[in-house]
Amino acid sequence: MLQITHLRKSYGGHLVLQVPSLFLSEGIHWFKGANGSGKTTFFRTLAGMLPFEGEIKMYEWDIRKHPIEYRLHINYGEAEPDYPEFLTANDLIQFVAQAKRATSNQVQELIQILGITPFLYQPTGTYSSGMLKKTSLVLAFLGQPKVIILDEPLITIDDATVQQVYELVRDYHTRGVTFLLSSHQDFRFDALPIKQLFEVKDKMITEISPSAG
Amino acid sequence: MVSVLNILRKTLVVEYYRLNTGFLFLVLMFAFGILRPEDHIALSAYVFTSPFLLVLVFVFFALYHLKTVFFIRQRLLWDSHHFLYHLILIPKWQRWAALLYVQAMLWLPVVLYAGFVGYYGWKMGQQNAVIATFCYLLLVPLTGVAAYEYRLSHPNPDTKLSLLSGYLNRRFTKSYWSYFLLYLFKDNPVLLFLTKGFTCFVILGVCKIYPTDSYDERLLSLGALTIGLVHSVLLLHLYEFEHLQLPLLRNLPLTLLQRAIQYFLLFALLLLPETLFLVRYLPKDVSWLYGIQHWGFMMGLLWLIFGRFLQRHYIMDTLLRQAFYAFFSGFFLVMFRVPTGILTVITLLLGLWLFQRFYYQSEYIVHEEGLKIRPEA
Repeated sequence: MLQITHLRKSYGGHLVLQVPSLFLSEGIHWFKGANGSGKTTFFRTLAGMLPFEGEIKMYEWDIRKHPIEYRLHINYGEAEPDYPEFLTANDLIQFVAQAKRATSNQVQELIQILGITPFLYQPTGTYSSGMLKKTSLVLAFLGQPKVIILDEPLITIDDATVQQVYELVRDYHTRGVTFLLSSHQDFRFDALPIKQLFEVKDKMITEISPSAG
Repeated sequence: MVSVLNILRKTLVVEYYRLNTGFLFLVLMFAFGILRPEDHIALSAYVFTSPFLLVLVFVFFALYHLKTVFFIRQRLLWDSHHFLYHLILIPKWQRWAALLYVQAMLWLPVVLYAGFVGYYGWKMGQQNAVIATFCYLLLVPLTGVAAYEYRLSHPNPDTKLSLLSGYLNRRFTKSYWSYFLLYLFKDNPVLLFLTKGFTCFVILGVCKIYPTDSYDERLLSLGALTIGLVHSVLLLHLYEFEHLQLPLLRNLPLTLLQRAIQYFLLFALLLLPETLFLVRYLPKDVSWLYGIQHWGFMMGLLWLIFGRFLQRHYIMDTLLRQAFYAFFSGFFLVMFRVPTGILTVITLLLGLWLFQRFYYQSEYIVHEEGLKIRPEA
């Protein structure tokens, strides 16, 4: 489903991550790793937000040869989202929803589920970190993605929202959406049917057995 | 007192000049690079004899003053600069003197320029206008001192959302092409108005000087070259704004054509004040076709500069060097009579090529320290 070959990611000549070969089948995958280990870089690269060496394909869509189809089907939720402070959540959602071809029903549903109605029309500069996180989660679920990448999706949000995120992930998963999740805390994804567990360490990604996590 | 001045110099004055080197250099490049000394003197004579133009120059000086005041007030909001609030503990007159020292140091470029043109104004018998100018130069820094004093005695300002903003946010959804303009109005209004004021002044200046001597259209082309390059700082902000605050843009399924149209719209809006000034002041014996080429050259330069940012991550220091080389390359091309139409086509095509080649290759390079693995908390 997601095939990564000879991936090398450097910043200014400084190698930060290399993945000789990695195949991710459909399901929910958990990536663990210390802060700064390269999880976010890996996720952003997969999301088409960073340049890299190598090849990445989702089904038949190559990230370079089919930039539109690829990006239409892969969404990304930031670990620590930061938006222009004059934009409202509504501005961002409408913009991304249009690009990702989301229906207005889906938009309204996600706004309701993640509880952002009270601050929908406030500039994001007035938001707490939890409100920013909820906004980024709405953006990550918009459209008809085949892969959703959620970087530390449970940090800064309250317990009730954590349960809503679990429900959303389960719901989208039953509809065939693959998830790539990250958390450096072991207990966070126990409630989800994790298919593969990976560790990002020493610039490499290695699969470890779920029991080892 | 010396230690207080030392701290203020290091944290505010040196920082200001370090961060604005590019901006000041570009202004300097125009002021003493394109216009001949006799043009400067002619322009100053014209300004000193016209109260309207003198007030207009005062407005420009005031905009620069606002830029410096905004800079200091922003710094006072930074956590790293909160220790400066201890200034409130030192005696009032000493504090005011220290703040005046800061403002005077930031005001120095204006004083030097005014001194230069004032000298010729005085020699040409415009003593009253020169005295008025220097009174203005002495009074304006005091408003900066008042602004800093207010901030020091009113730390942690609260921001409230106005009813009008709330209504507009509910009624209208902002379009993508407007994001950067809103960012400029919200976060960098002085840079925006100063840039636009300066570039409109360039258009006005070259259009007014053009009929006075045996100039040809190359003077207007040099004006367009300057305007395009002065936009480098704004385009650096665009590059940083999109990478740092809207990284999600590169995850969106938009074609390069759709993205290019948005940028074209944004650049056209950025150039709107210059466009209006060009339409209003284009000399009568210059054809409209040339006016269109002139506008196209500015647009092409914006594309070329933005394309270069996509091609390679720039910081202000390298931008300064590149702008210097670009200006002299362009200067020689114009002076060797390369037609403006050709320059327009070349800059546009090169800019668009860089855009399509490097849009997805572009990344904002973080400092190497940020790449090191941090231990778990």
